[in-house]
Amino acid sequence: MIRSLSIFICSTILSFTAYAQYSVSLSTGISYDIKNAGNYNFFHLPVSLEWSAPMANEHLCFLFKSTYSIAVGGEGADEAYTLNPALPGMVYVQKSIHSSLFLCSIGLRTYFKPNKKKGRFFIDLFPLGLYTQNFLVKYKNYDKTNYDIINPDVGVSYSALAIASSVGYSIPVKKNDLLIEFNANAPVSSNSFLSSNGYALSYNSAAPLELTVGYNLNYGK
Amino acid sequence: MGNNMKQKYLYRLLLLVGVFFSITGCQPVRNLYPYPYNPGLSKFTARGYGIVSTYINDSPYVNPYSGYSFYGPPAFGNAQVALTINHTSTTFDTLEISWYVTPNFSATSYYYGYSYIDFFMPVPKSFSEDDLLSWRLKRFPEDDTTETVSVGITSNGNYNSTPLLGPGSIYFVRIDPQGTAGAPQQYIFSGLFQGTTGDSLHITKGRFDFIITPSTLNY
Repeated sequence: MIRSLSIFICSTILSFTAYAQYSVSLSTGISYDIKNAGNYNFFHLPVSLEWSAPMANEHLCFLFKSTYSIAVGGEGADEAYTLNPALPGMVYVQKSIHSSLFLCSIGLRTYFKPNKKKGRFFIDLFPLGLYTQNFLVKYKNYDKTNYDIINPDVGVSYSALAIASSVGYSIPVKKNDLLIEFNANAPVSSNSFLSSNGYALSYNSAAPLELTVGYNLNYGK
Repeated sequence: MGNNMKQKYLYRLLLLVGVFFSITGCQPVRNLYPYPYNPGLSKFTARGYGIVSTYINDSPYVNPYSGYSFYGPPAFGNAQVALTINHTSTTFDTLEISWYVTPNFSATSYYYGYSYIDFFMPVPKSFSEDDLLSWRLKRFPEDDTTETVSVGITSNGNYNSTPLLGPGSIYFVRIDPQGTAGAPQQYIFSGLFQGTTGDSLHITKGRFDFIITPSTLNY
């Protein structure tokens, strides 16, 4: 699988025309995880590095993109109970769930109304990606001697294939571009999101919506 | 080796693989999820995992498990909770809640010395399914009543011997309908317990999580 993927990527890159203008961009912004929106507000600070090369013509590009998202926030509370009659039977214990996400994907970019001097819209499609999501759970001020948390959460590390897409606008700045993008990405096959030993969790795998601004550096012909 | 011989061995191999997957595929889930804050115990859950775990004199005990139906008795999968109403000639009947437990290090075998933990709770003669369901989020013994909860331990699997009795307490944290309503309706039955028996056996950090069918009790 990995070998086939490597061959596909190499052959695709080598097939680019010699006169193409390549570009590399760095972008950042804010993202919100819509899959956990009912239970938790998971915000992230995504940092993306993207490399692109024109394919059949200058309006169609091959893309390689990697994004690392740093957790911002992610708070919740679980119920804890005690048999000690001198204490309240139930209290809430605050917990923090910090998730760090890493996505590597390849795809295509199509430009619309191409006018490089005035700016242009584009759509990215990433049919193939690899997502790694790490969740870290911590309980705060938990009286372990007297209380027991019911259905306590645990952290989990999770990898899966992913799909992603973006819409954006490219504004020329001298010979380079300013990119404003709206991205959506999600792992596939994550319906039963469990810890490694099958224990059910209160949160799901992340599927963030991102709004990013980046700078695109063109090079080559 | 002739073709017929090769086919014969191939069929045997396929049969063995089939039997292996039949056995392992039917194996029930243990659902014992270690809790790092209480080594040897399972997490306190309310999902119908079919697990009870507790410390007896600081040693971890859990209910035993049988992975295969022919490996029994007495049960297939996790040993379940037993709820019984003992009808008496006194003013109150007794609700008995009973679990098998065995030392955690031998939790995969029925053939190791195990113990029974029994809770005995006085209930009125008119005790009904609705009364049991109303115990959600109740701690026993309650502060404002004179009722007492007894806990007993019967050691070495000798269920006929008289259990060592002592004061206990139990907290019914969840008695919640499980899944879609059916006939009879099942409930998640989850909570905490502790107690002392025979002045020397201390039950601490007990937690249970089962699915029960309250309508089938012998009211």
